[in-house]
Amino acid sequence: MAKREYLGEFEFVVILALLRLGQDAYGVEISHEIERRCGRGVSLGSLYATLERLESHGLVSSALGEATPERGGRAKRYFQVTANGLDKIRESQRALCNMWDGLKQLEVMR
Amino acid sequence: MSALKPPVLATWLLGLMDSNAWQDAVAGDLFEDYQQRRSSTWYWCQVLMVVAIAVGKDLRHHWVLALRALAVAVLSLCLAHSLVSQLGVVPRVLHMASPLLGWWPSVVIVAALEPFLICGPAGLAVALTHRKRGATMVLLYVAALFAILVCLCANRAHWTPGCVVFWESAVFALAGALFGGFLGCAWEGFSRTRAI
Repeated sequence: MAKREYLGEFEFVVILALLRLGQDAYGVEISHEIERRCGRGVSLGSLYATLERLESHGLVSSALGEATPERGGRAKRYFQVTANGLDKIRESQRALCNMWDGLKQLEVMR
Repeated sequence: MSALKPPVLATWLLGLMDSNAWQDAVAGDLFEDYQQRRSSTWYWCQVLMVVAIAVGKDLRHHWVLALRALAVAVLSLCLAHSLVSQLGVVPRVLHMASPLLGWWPSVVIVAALEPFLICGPAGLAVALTHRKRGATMVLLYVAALFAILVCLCANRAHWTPGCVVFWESAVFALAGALFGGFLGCAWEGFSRTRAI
C-alpha cells in the first residue's frame, strides 16, 4: 500500500492560519493569529520548523519581503499555501468530518 | 518611538546559529514581536527554543559531523590534559599561590583553573573544525561533557570539602568548554564577516 502522509494537528492549524491571513502571512502575524483563534501560545522556533517542513513537502511556498528598521533591518518571509497544500487540507478536513459524523456525544457539545 | 533593543546576549546566541534567510526571518520576527511584548524572559525563551530546534535539526541531518565533533573533543581533551601536565601548571600555581593565600584557597584556584584550561581549548578546537555548524557542535560537546559530569557528580553528593572542590571543577570545566567554544564561533563569525 502506498504511504500516505497526514497533516499533524499543528500543521493543520498553521495552514488554516495562512489561509486566513492571505497576503500578510509572516511569522509574527501567523503566531498572533494562532494565539487569537486557538488561545494557545506559539513559539516562533516551532512555527518556523513546521513551516520549513511544510515547504519541503511542497504544501507551502515562501518569498522574502523588504528589510525594515522596525525588524532590526531584517526581511520578512511571507508564506502562501500551494495548490498541493489546499488539496491536502481538504483531504484532512474530509477525513476529520468522516470521523466526526454520527458521534452523538460531540453533537451535544456543539 | 525608537526601537527597544532585545537582550544582547540572546541575540548574539541566535546569531551564532547557521545564518540563512530562514534564520534572518526568525531573528526579525523576534525583534518585531519583542517591541510589543517587551519581556526579556519571553525573548530568552523564544531564542532558546529556536536554538534547541536548530541544534536538533542539525544533529539529525549531520550526525556524521556530530560524531566527528565528539572525536575532535576527546582528542583535544587528551592533548590539552597532557600539555597542562607537561607544563606543570598545577604544581606551579600551587607553589606560587600557597605562600600568599594558604593551602585551601590555592587548591580552590587550581581546581577551577585546571579544568578550564583543559576543556576550553577542546571547545575552541570543536568550533574551529566545524565552521558552519560550529555552534551546534559546541553545544553538543558541552551537553556530552555535562552528562559525563552529572554521572560523576551523582556519586559525590555529600558536602565534604573534597566534593565541593570536585563540583567546582565540574562547573569550571563547563564554563571553559562554553567559553572556548563560543570564542571559536565568534572568531569564525568575525573572519567570515571580514572575508565578505
